[in-house]
Amino acid sequence: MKVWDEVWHSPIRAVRPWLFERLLLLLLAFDAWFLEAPHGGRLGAGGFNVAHAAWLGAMLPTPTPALYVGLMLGIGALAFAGAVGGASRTHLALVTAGWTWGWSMSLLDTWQHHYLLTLLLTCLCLSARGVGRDGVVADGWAWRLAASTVAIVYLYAAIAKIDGDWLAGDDLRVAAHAALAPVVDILGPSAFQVLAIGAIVTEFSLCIAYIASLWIDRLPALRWPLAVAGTVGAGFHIAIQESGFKIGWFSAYMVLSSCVFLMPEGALQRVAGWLPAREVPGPRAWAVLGGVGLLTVGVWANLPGGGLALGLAAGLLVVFGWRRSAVGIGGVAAAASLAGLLETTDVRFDYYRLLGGDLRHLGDLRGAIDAYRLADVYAPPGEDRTVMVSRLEAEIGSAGSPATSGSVGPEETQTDQ
Amino acid sequence: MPRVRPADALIALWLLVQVGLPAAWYLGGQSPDQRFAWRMFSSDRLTHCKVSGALTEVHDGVRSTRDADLSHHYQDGWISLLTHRNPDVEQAVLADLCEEPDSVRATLRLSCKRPDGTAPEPERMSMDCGPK
Repeated sequence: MKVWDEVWHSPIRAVRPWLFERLLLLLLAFDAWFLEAPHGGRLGAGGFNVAHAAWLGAMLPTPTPALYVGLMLGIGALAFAGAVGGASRTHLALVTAGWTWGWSMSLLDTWQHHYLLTLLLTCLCLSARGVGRDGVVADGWAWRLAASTVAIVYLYAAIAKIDGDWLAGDDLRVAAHAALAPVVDILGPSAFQVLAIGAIVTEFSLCIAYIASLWIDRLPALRWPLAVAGTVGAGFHIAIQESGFKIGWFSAYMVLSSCVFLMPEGALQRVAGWLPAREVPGPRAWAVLGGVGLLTVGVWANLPGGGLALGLAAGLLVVFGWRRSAVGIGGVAAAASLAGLLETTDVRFDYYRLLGGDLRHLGDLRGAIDAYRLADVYAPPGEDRTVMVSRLEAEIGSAGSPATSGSVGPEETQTDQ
Repeated sequence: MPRVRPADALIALWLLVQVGLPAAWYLGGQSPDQRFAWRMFSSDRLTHCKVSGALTEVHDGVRSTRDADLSHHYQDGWISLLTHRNPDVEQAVLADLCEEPDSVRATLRLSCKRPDGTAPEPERMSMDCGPK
């Protein structure tokens, strides 16, 4: 048992889980608001759904746009407030459960990294709380469990590529021909094969690095080799992102992991130094202000489920922030950030235009017109759907009855996951 | 015999599941459902397929087969999952098609093209609809 205890139960520098939790929650908040919520219109479209497990589909309510979009807005708010003010175990468990419900309610979401996030958030839920960032977590088993999980991901990602098509470079040629053209110019026609084999070697190396990271704060000799591995890992995922693969924010999460799991403590302390270190005493008014702010944004957002979900998130943050003003401040920051995001990006335009595309495709022309009219409220210059609405109205008029076909030309629908 | 702490049991169980789930995919016939196998960028995902549906019906004792217009019944995400041969979605779509009155058999037909340009034989998945 001595070796087992040394591997799993020895101390770990608190800055690692502290920083990882804060930055992971921040990324997750923007992922939920910016990337996931706009796709919520497809949930339950046409009255059809398949959950990730049959028992989930039987136990939980059938997904609807309001349920999914509301869930993403609410979970994003809780995650953001946790990133700013720190999350209690209950707070983090709610984020984990909500996020997991979000992806598992429908097979329309098959991003593998959404499942990985559930695993990593679960490990963080199991981590010791209240240690702060400057000390030591006396028993770092939960952190090491997270590191082992990432190592297993890299191991199987590498094994999956030991395949004739990948080894010959054919898969990479098909998937990233245009993005890798400059590399082909330098390395010649064998570039795809070289890069494909390089990816396998990199993934196996990262698997070993994450396993070695179980000892990172105990063996000084590992510091620089793991720092090199962290740099390689971050560069590898940035390169994948730049190659044009449609993989959501997987790269961002893995760059974050590479840095926090593998970099020396000193570098992490410098980054963590930019964030508030510990609880600052403050009035409970922050909690109330955060709650009111989130509720207001929920009503103003004009997205299905937004008012109810952000109202619930607001209530929870008032409870969490009643004794910890930093969480209340986090709620205020979440409300301001979500309002800013909705006002400055195309989240609402994308939601309504994609919903319109799906409804038109499924033959609900009147529903599509309503969605496109709402999209036009938030449309960037020159991207309004006025012409499409006119064509749909003409089709309904010529058919003499509502909503029977979808033959009015191409429009976007949602197939990207 | 040393006492097993709850944390140690959890670590062992967690690792067993994390290693076992993907391993089960490799050992269990390599189903098209690759969700928990960490198979990023595998050849299977780069194979492009088209799916079509057909419904066999019986009207007044006469048996006939017609095309089922999948794209106007299912959101595009479901069509995409069908083209990736997701078995749960295949079964759910076939069952859903069987809900049509007079239907006796629902069929999905998948035509694919691999990254190297070759095309395997089209595949058919069918479901007998049973009594209404």
